[in-house]
This record gives sequence, C-alpha cells and structure tokens, in this order.
Amino acid sequence: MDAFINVLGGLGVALQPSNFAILTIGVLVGVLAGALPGISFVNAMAMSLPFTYSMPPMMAMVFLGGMYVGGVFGGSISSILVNIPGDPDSLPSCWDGYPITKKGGSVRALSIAITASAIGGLFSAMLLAFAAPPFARMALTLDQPEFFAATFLGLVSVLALGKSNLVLSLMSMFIGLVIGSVGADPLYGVQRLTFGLPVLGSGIDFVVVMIGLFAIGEVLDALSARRASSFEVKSDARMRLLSLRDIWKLRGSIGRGTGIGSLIGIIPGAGATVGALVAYGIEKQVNKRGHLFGTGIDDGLAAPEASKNATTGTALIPMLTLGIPGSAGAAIMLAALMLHGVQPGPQLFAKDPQLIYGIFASFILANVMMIVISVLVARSFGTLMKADVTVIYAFIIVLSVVGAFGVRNNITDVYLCIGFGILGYFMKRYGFPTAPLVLGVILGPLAEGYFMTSLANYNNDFSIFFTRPVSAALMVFALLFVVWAVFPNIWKRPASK
Amino acid sequence: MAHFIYSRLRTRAVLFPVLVIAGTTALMFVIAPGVNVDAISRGVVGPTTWPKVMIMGIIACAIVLLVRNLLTGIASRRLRTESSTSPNAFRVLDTAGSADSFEELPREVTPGEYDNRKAALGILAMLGYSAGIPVTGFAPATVACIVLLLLIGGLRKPVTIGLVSILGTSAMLYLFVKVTAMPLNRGVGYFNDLNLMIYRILGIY
Repeated sequence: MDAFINVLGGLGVALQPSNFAILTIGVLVGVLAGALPGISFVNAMAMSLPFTYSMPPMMAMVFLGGMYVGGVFGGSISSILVNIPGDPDSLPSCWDGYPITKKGGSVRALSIAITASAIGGLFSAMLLAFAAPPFARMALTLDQPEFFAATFLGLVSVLALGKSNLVLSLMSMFIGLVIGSVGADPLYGVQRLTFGLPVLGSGIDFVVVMIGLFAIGEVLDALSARRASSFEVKSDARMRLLSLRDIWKLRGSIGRGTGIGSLIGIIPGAGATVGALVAYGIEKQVNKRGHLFGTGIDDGLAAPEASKNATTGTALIPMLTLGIPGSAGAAIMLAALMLHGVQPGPQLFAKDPQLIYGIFASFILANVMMIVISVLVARSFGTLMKADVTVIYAFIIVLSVVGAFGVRNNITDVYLCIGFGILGYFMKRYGFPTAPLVLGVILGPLAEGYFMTSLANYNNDFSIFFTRPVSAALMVFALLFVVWAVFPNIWKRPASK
Repeated sequence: MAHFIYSRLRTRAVLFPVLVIAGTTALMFVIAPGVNVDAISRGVVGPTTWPKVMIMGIIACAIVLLVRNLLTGIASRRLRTESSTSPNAFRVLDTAGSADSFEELPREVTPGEYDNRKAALGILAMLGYSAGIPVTGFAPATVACIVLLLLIGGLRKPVTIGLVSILGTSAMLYLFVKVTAMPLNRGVGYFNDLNLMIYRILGIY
C-alpha cells in the first residue's frame, strides 16, 4: 500500500508542467532518433547528456527516461515501413512486420507494434515501481564484497552473451577497464597512466567515451559506407491501438514477450536487442504458427515488440539499487545521476524517495506518451525519410563536439572524444565489439573501488569474496557464466577458409 | 615457413590492430612501475595492480588471437540462410556476439562497401573544427564544419548547404548560450568581435 501511495506521489511530481513538458520532448526526440536509420536513440541520449547538466536531477532523468522509452520503440517504424531497422533492437520487427506491410497491412503492423510495445513497457514500468524498493531494502544488507561480486557479474555477463566473439569481447572489455583506470586510484589517490599530463589526472570521463564511440564512430562509419542517403516511403503510415479483441488474440505472444523482456532487462549489459531477439526465437519455437514466421505473422511481430520495451523499466532496477546499468540507455541515465552528484544505490531510496518515485512515475507516463507521439511521428515518417541523412550526421558531429566540451569545459575532452570516435570507427571496421569497452569504462572504476575497499576492510583477505554467502553465490554464478561462454570455444574447431 | 606466416598475417585484417594493441599495451606496461610480486603474495594490492592486470589481460587476448589465427586461418562468420523463410533469431544472437549488449549489432562488411577517404576527411574536419573553435570562436567554426561535412557527405546544393549551416548554427548558439548558459568559446582578436556581433544579432546578448 505504501508503495502505491508513493507511486501516486511520484505521479504528482512527474505531472508538474515543466517535468511533463520535458518528458514529452524526450519521448519525441527518442522516437525520432529511433525511427531514423543512421542514428540510434543511444546516440541521441549520449549527445543530450551534457546538456542535462543545467537541469535539476529529476528533470534530467525524466528527459532521458522519455528518450529511452521512445527510442526503443521508434526503430520499429522504419523496420515495418521500409525494412530498415532504425535501431538494432528493431531488427526482428523487419522479419514479420515488413512482410505484413508488403501485403498492404502497414496500418495493422504498426498498430500491433505500438500496442505490444506499450503493454510491455507499462508492465515493466510497474515492475520497476513495485519491485525496485524491496530489492533496494535487500541491497542495504550488502557490503563491498557483494557489490564487487555484482559488478563482476555485470562485466562477465557481457562475455557470456557474446560467446562467439569471446576473445575480441574480452580484449574490448580489458581496453575499457584500462581506460577506466586512468587517473587517481580510488583508495590511495595515486595517479596512474596519466603520462605526466595534468588533464588526465581526473581520469577519462565515460561520457566522453560514449559520445565518441556511439556518436562520432557511428557517423564516421556511415559517412564512409556507400549507402543511400534518403529513402522513399510508399506505405500508409497510420497507426492506432488494437481493439481489446485483437489484443486478446495476441495475448500469448505479448505475454511471453513481456515476461522475457522483463527478465532480460535486469541482466546487466543485455538490453532491448537481446530481449527482442530472444523473444522472437522463443515465440517461433512455441507458437502454433511458428513455422510460418517470416511471412508476416502477427505473433512474430508482437512478441519482440513487447519484449524490447519490457526491458526498459527493469533495466533500471540494478541501476538504481546497485549502480549497475542494465543497458546502454540505463548507463546514460546512470551517468546523468552521477553528473548531478547523485549516487545510485540502496541509500538513495531512503535519502531521496521523491526522486526515485518521480522516476518510476515518469516511466509509466512515458509509455503512455509514447503511444501518442509515435502516432504523430509515423504519419510524418514519409516526409522525414526524404531528408538527406548527411544533414543529420553533420549536426551529430557538432553536437558531439559541443557535448564533449560541455562535460568539463575542457577542450582536451573534445580531442579525447574524437580519438574515441576514430577508435570506434576502426573497431566497427575490424569487427571489435564496442559495447564491452563501454561497459568496462563504466563498471571498471566501480569494480576496482569495491575490490580495493573490500580488501582494505577485511585485512587483504582475498577469500572474503567466496566466504560471504551472497558474494559467494554471485561469484559462483559469474564463474558459471564464464565457463558457459568459454567451454564451447575451447571445443569448437574454427572453420578454415 | 616464413611465407606461410606472412600469408596468414596478410589474410587476417584484424592481426594488424591486434599487433598494434599488444605493442601499445606492452609499452604502457614498461612505462608503469614493476610488479611487486612479494607484496601481492602477501595480499597487498597496490594502486597500480588493477590497471596492470587489465593490461596483461589485453596482451593475453592478443596472443591468443595471434596464435589461433596463425595456426588455423581465418574463420569467416556469415549468417547461413535456412530452408525456412524466417531468420533464426538465436543464430543472429550468437553471431552478433556481445555487441548485442548495449543495443548494438555488427554489420557484415562487403568488399567495396567503404570509402576510407570520406572517413579520413571527416576526421580531418572534426580535428580542424576542434582546433578552430579556440581561434575563431564557436559560430564561424561550426558553420565551416557543417559546410565541410555536408560536402564530404555528398550534398551539392549550395542553397541547402548555406541555409542548413547558418540556420542550424544560429539555433544551436541560441540553445547552448542563451538557454543552457554554456560558456562557448568566442575566439581571439577580430573573431571575438565577430562572435559578439553574432550574439547581439541573435538577441543572446
């Protein structure tokens, strides 16, 4: 009952005119960025991050949360209408969504997508609002060894998900961990890897890394790739919510997608892409018409749509309670909190419940606003797609440079950002995954801090991570992840050319 | 033997960056103070232990890759088409690898797909932009950068280029300086006066 009253209080905060207006703008920007191929909502969130510094923490989180929710859905519009995923998480929407469009059912396809996404997103937002506080209370009983074990699990889970690219993923993550250790160490304050440069004394901000890799790297890749610069949309781009009868017909696929997405959202580093792909794969196995998937089956579209938006709310549970982001979007929201001097963790729920429940309520509202705004964006999609994406790329570069400068008002951050952009470009070209690097930069300092503090508090006893029950359980789980990831690679014989 | 190794090196594009990474991290390791084995054996972990362990991790991964690729050759990864029309989502997930996390997927690169000159020009444009901001100020540097990037991207309509660069820069100036109060650089000398004039025209000052 207390949780319900607190959520209602949070709704009151989120419905304040300034917060509601910024939420609407965030959802609009997210849907647009998600819908336009060539830029992703993660790019948009990364570039917007420095500008949230002038906003109060609540407003910044509402803005970025709206962008996150809207962006995860936005890619479905281009997937369904032109068979080009606006974001990687919308790739499964192409497989059955576009065939429905080709048969003249674009309105139905878009309606299925928005309805399933809204249901998945709302369920996830409710789960966030009512499951996060008990999780936070449990987290209050944890100490530094448990936090290190959870962070270690977060790092390792990325490898388990990328087991076919294991060595490159490991290398990428280690590079990120090294980048994250530049500057003063968390316990002794000793400068590391600064090469005598004062500007590196305070380390490399992970916002700079994210803007460089996600924004500049993507634009360089797009500039150099020989692809069309604009597209023509011929289909009817209207959408509406499905009727209750139609929703009932799709209850199985929407329900399964929502459940899968909600679970996957909690796994650090997984995100909407994994959620959508897993939900599609499972739905294909269990659905009576699974053998027809790929020809334009409603369930084949509904399941991944529900799943990917269901990851958004639950991705914030580990972020708010443990400071471990569940996805890239959650990582950027974590960065926003830290930019405002707000330390996520179980204490935050006690210190600033208004902020916490305001965030919960804004996620619920964002999923409602997503419906309204997506209808408007879909109708103007044809016009938007005629625009030359080169214009968008040029502004992304400018915004990235300004955004990187705005982190610490230091021109060196701009050069670092460009450097990471160049690194991101070459990583994409040579098949190095960039996501583990970003995770390493974000989680590395946290992991090191918890590790060093644990050793300092427990007389340099390494076994503490395996003797405390919760920490031991998390470490064993993490090691099982590693074995699951490594074992097939040891036995698999690589195919020769 | 030498020809065999050379041919393996040539056929694997990633070997070069792997060698670069391994060389760079080895250099970093040399620059950092030596590992105090005695201290670690007593359970004392110093401030440089964590980064050195991570650097060793990079070198270890690079060695594993080099050895594996020298011995077995390249394993090209393609999504195989199946008899059914629908894609295998788990196969995509598996071959996408950890790039799937944080909402990212790798793309298949086909020969001739990339024009490296455009990427190089884009990098030069960005570097020039960053170097130009402290000299000319944000406004002129941004207009020049947008024009350059549009030209690199293949846009050739002068009116579009002019309108986009000038209107876009004006909008961003207003947003950054007036709305968010970001202290953007106004340049030096005559450029400082030019930027101030632009700010007054836009109603910022």
